[in-house]
Amino acid sequence: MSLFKLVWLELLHRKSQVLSGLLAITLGIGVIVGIQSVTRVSEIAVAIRLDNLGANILVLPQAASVDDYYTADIDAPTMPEDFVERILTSTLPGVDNLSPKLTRRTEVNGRKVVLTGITPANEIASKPVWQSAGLVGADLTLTCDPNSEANKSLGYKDERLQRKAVESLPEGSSIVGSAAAVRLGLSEGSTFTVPERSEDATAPPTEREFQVAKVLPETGTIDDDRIFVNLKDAQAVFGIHDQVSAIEIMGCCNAISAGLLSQLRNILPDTRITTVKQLVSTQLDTNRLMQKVSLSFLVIVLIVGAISIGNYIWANVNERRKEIGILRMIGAPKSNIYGMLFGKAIILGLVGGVLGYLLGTAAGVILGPELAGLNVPPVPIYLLWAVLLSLAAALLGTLVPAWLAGRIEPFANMQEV
Amino acid sequence: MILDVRKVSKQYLHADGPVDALRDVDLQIPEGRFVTITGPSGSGKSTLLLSLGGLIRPTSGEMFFHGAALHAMSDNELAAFRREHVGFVMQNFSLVPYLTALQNVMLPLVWGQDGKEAQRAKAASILDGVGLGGRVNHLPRELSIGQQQRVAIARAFANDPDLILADEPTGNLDPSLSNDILTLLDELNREHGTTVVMVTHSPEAARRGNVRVHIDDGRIVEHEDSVAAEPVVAGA
Repeated sequence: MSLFKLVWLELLHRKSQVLSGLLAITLGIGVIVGIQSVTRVSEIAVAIRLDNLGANILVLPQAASVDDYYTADIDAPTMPEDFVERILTSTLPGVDNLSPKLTRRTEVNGRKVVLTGITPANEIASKPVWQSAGLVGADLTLTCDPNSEANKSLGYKDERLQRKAVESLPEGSSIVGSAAAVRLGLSEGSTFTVPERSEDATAPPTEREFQVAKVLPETGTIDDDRIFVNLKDAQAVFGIHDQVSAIEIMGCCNAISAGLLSQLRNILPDTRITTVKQLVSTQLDTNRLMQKVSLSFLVIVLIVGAISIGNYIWANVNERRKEIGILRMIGAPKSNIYGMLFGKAIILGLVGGVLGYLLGTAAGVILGPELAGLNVPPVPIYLLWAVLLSLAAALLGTLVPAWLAGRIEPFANMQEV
Repeated sequence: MILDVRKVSKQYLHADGPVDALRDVDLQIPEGRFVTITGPSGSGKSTLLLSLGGLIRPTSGEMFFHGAALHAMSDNELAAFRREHVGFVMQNFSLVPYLTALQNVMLPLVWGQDGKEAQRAKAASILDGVGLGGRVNHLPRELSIGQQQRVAIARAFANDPDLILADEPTGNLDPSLSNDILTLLDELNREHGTTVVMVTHSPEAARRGNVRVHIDDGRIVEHEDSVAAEPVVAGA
């Protein structure tokens, strides 16, 4: 006979009580594991959707202002196109897409309009709204999620993973913003010309003809008033070869907060690098919100679990007053009584943690696709957390009942004194 | 002297005022005696017994066990004193309901040096000695009340105590069973030389003792030592 066996025999003796106590902790842990599993997948989905909003970092020439980026002045500074290559070869984590562009004002049909040269596959990839018009861009890989391959099996629609590359926006083709198309009287298939600056400054400008490949739907952005052509065409039209006026970057917001900007500045010291603050702060705020929701559930379950176990142990102690009195009478020190109660709590915590993990994981796997439209895979590391959390709740809940049990007098088993 | 009680008083604090359960009790108990304590309900006899077993602390006075000051011991020291030197037999048997007879008797051995098999063998032998060799694996509810009290007595002797404290051990038993239990206690007292202190309402049961103490209103009013013990008969 040992104290452990005594605890074990007592557990077997009060099976229904043990089962109800176990049920309480199993449900509590199951809820947190289930929620955490769904939240984890949701966080990834939300992060990707936020990243889908588009470029959130601007690389501009050192002398340029953000205003230049929007107004596209004829004399706005430019920078070498090979900066793009420099970023690409640096393999910085968190850079999901690069869209170099050259933007200048020009004239079409006698009206002023902004012409932007783009690398079409990358540009389209970074603009979800464009894709609703049937344009498809480059295949992207998520750098902010180390398990990007696994994302494909999560069930949500990651637009970037689904985009296919347009081989090229052929030279001579263009994509026209909705407002520009109306203003210039352009439609798909129609043509227009823009003046082309000759290499020889003294030579008169020539005209270059473009055909409208696509008219974009209204986006509510500066894109509505622009005409987009191949970067090479734009460089030729404006006579600025191998130069760009901006590089738009889709950066993983977590990477931005981890110092992506300073790493970019190290690579491109002669540029001005800035974030689209509203976008980045929205992404970061949303991530923080998701984390707070998870933490809130964790705290609630810890408290509720501790109360449930505490209630069970308390009832158990009250029911066993006589029995504890017997043990004290025959010489059990208080430490043995504490040990027996905490021993029972540990057994319940361990079993409840494992069962709770299984229950929560099963609920996530089964209900995730039904309720949240997400495939929720099991997360093995949660087993460790579930057991630790369950043990913490069980031990926390046992503190007060154990203290009360220690106060039971050794003559509590007697009928009268 | 196995027990030496000097000027021990015990006062309980109740809502309607303090109650003196013991008042300046002096009592010396030589080793190996069968002591019976009688008195009316509320006279303080159970309080005296609990004090002797280190289950409650006197409000004032001194108590010595083989010269060791019980009144000055900590809770843990008193617990060690009880498990090493005292066996208890209570009116309500005080058996753990989910343990078999054998496991109940093994209970005081949990804190000893014996291994599981030695514990088991010793408990089985004691149960055999009280006539329950065939009931070792029965739960208390599967035993008669007489058998339950025998299990309680077996448990009291499991750790080879110097002192057995019995509180109304025959209070719930019919006269025939009472006689059996008292005879068993008497035999164990004689065979093992274990000192027995028994509280009882019954004058007949009290005559089993060779030291007889009568207590009333918290004071010892009669104390007869070395009287010849009488066999208990039906009706005790």
